[in-house]
Amino acid sequence: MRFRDYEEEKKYIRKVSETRYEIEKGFVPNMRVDGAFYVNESLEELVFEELRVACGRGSAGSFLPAVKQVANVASLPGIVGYSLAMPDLHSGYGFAIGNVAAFRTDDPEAVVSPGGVGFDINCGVRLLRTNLFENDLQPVREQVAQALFDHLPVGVGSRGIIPTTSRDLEEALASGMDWSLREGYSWAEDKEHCEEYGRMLRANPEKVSARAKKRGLPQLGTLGAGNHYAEIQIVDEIFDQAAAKKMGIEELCQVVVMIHSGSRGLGHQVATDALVEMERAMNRDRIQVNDRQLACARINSREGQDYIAAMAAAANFAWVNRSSMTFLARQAFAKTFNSSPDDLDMHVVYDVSHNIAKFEEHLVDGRPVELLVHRKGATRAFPPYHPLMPISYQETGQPVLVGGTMGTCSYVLTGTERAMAETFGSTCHGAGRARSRNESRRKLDYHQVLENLERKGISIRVASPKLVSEEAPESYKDVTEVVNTCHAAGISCKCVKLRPVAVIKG
Amino acid sequence: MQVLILGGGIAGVTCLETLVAYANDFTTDTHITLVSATSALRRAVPYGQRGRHIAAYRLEETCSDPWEALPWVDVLIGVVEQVRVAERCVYVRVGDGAPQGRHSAGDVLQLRFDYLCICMGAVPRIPKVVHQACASSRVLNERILTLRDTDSADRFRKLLQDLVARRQRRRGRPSEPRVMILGNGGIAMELAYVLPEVAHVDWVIRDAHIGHTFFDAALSNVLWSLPTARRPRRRQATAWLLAPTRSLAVESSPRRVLGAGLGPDWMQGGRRDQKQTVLEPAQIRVVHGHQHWDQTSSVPDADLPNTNSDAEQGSTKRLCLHQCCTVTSIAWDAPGSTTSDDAAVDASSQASLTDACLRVTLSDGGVVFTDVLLCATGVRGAAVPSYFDAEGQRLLRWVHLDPPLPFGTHCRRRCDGVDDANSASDPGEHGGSPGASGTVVAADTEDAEDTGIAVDEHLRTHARYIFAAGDCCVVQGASSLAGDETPRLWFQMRLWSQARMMGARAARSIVRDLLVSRPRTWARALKEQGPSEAGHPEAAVLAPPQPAPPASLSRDEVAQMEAAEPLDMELFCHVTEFCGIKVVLMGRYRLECAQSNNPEVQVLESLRPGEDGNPTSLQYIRVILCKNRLMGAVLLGETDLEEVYEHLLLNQLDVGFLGSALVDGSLDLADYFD
Repeated sequence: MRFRDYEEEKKYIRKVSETRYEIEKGFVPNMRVDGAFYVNESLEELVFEELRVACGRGSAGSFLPAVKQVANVASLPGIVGYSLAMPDLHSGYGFAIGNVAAFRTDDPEAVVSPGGVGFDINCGVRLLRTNLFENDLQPVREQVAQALFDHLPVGVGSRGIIPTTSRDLEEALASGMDWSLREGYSWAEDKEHCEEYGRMLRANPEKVSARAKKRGLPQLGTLGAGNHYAEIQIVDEIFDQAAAKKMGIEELCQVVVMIHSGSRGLGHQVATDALVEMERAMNRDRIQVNDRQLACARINSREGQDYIAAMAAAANFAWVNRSSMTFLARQAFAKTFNSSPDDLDMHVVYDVSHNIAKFEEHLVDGRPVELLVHRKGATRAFPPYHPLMPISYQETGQPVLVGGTMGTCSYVLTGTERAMAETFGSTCHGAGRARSRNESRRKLDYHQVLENLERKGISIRVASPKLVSEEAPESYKDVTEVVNTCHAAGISCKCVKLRPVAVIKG
Repeated sequence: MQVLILGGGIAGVTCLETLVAYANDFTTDTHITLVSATSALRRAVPYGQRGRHIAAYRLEETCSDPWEALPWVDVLIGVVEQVRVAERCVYVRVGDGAPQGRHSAGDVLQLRFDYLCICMGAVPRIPKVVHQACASSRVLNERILTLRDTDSADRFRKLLQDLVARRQRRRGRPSEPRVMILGNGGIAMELAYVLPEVAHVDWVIRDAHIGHTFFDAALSNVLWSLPTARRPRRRQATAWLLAPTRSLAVESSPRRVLGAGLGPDWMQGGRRDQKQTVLEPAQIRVVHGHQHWDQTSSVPDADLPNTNSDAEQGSTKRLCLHQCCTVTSIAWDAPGSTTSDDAAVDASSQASLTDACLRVTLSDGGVVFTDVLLCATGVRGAAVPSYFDAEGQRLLRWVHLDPPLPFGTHCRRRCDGVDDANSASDPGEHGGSPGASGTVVAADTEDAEDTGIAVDEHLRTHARYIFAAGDCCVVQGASSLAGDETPRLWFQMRLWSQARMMGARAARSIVRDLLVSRPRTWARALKEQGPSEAGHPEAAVLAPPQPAPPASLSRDEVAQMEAAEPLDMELFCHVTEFCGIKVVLMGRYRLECAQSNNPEVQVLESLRPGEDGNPTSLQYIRVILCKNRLMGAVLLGETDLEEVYEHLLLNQLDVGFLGSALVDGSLDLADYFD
């Protein structure tokens, strides 16, 4: 097969509006639908630069650029509409992060793919409000941060701060936040403000492997490392006063707490188990995909159903996880401010999932159809008056929590009708890859050390002595640019901007 | 029910803590006793979870206070005299470390047990020549120190301070103390990193590269070439070394009793009953980026770039490395004629000691004069056969702690281990003497090999009701859950992190066993259990004497408990800091493991500046792949990638497609696998 150069590749990508590009069929083989992605001027550079670098690598490339991944997803059986990508798209395992793809459940060929959900199943963001203001916080900021740090458990041993046995785990997997509520870690109102009311009904703990449970048990109620964090934030800007008020965010400088976490090792194992199973099923059912990482199974096959049940259980685990941390964050604030969480009005504003596949009803060609919507690094953004919206958000639309890269700002958006029409009710989930560095300095020091080693006759087998700047484009996707693109495209509306004052990492 | 824990180190204390956590499952007659040689118990306090298996801990000394509120928990300060397996009791000589209430020091108590967990730790493995030197003369004995526990560390501080003080008092040219470090493990490395601040250091290592215990040669070279970003750590350690110490009685004979191991932060100071605030990396001011020392071997007076740069200290101290060397003789070198008048004033046998020093001959022919010889040459399991009665020696087995083998040869070895275990539990083949089998070691000699009590992955020994955990045991025949075709990613190493894990694991095994076996009479249990268990004739002898209380766990519940047993013996993980650089070791990370001429094995390395863009915070990453699956990883510096590599190691996902992107930073791995 001949490799096209960058200019040829670009011909398949067409700008249809200020913020939307479409990828035409033929960009990769077997595309069943077109692809589409939302970017503004500053973000489009990053996307195209990534493609250009990948074209330069040719077939030796180690991983695919995000646009290729979006196009490959468009070739999966049963996909409807477009294979969509949000402004924060970047490459991931199989599906790009930021990819949204919907499959018709009435199509017997339609598939479910673990790559379209991600490894950290039901990774998501939860926002707690308080009735405190920056003035109240400032003098005790260090103490609050320390208290949060102390309270959020490090999850060592099978009996952490929140004691959990393997029986608890089974129940948590089966009933999600209902378990948290029953055990007293969650308030009754909390689940009203969660997607699916904090419980996936299709969950079946029996479909979760013993190994996954072993990995999950000690991690229940733990934050995790890497890109997971808890932040104490301050309301920095309010764009939509009325909607913000519905969320209990009344004024500038109000203090809120954001928790970003998922299903940790349990999710990883569920995804890995499914990938192995599905590779077998693909041979049996003769499903061919462009990329081996897009392992998938027919929704109605045993493997497909098993994965959906296990994924739902992992999703429940993630909700319990965030609920446990909510409990602990409330305790930490109550302790520091010598008040009760009730008096501090520490309600859950909303809890979003950005690594999940869900059965939803959408209009396809004007008719309601049940779809299995995969959202990987994308957030549901349902419009006002949607039947799944809780009463409090009927008029505003669903709150969408967009966490920035740790330490930068975050946003609360609201869902729109346009998202429902264009993106299966989805919008962005956060910043893209975050890297900002002083490249020249990095290069210098790096080479110094290498020379140093050489001088001493030490050879180290550096896999690729190239630096990030040489290999990949400047890949910092600012959360503000991402959010502005979504706002401009109309797939969500800006509501509140938050800035962090303390970051807690697990 | 009497549960007895022997040892107050990390394994023992963790075992106790874990048992206490299960208190609700016990009946009221359960009594737990921990026997510790010293009044200072060591516990590991977590302070940072880097991943499911990767946690950072700091070690803390504690006393028995936390358990004083629990009437069913006793902490006894004493020394184990003998373990009588046949009678199920332990003889303990009460020590004088702490008020004992009912018992006075020197009494020998008989403690009965239903369950015994041996956490006796390890004792230093001292080279013969050093041992002989110590035995030959009192003065030599005073100047040769074996660093192992807090007491010996304090003793060293005292000696060093005396030397520094005496040298400063001298008229004429003051000279710095000279210290020789023997050994190549963690403690030796830490000493060699810190001591050049205050003394001239000769470092003698047996191997060709530094840090052989932890690193292969390539890794060692990289680590010592990285600039250090945590100078405050060294300064803190120096301050601790020179801080006033309580005076210690001079020891005339080598102690039989040792405290618990030192742990990773022993030179931070202020460890006793004192929590230390943990500094986040961001709070640590970066001072300089310089190299640790030149790798040139045996070049005395070579200026070390990093010490020169330290303007505050104005230090001219040096470190001289002697590689591939051992000590062949140690002699007392008293230069009688050059004795200074200061020394004469002291008018005691101590006087001449000020100037006199040790003359150490090395195997490469070199002769080095030094004031103090620090021996940090590793340890061996402390629970030797002589502690046990004939029954114990017959049932328990002592095996070598072997280093992990390369991937290719691994499977076969593991099968061997299983076979061994089976034959041991079979009375027909077992024979009477522990020396019958090739791997079993009977004698407790001075140069005894590194052996420990053989245990299975649940920390059970070959004697029913006896468990062992920590440095004194050797885990055998544990199977990988990932399946037989993949090599095991866990191996045993004498580490405080593993001691902690094993202590907790042994406790859970005891709890399970306690909850299962209690309700049944032994005769019934024999019938119910499979033939493998019934083959334990000794088990019948050791049957629990009590009749069954009603409350117990069902088989399902026990199976569930076992299912909940963490995967911590599936992946080797160690987080520590050497020379101010954070080191994360995971899985089969050593190159030796990979170099089995296996074409499927691939090693990827990268070296790049840290995430914060700071020039001194370089990161080194190495991953070892076998059949495109991650087998091991090494992370030097603040990479923040522990969790994602841990996931990939446990997932055993095919990551060959990533190629160099797996390490070179062109891809945000945590995000890619989100």
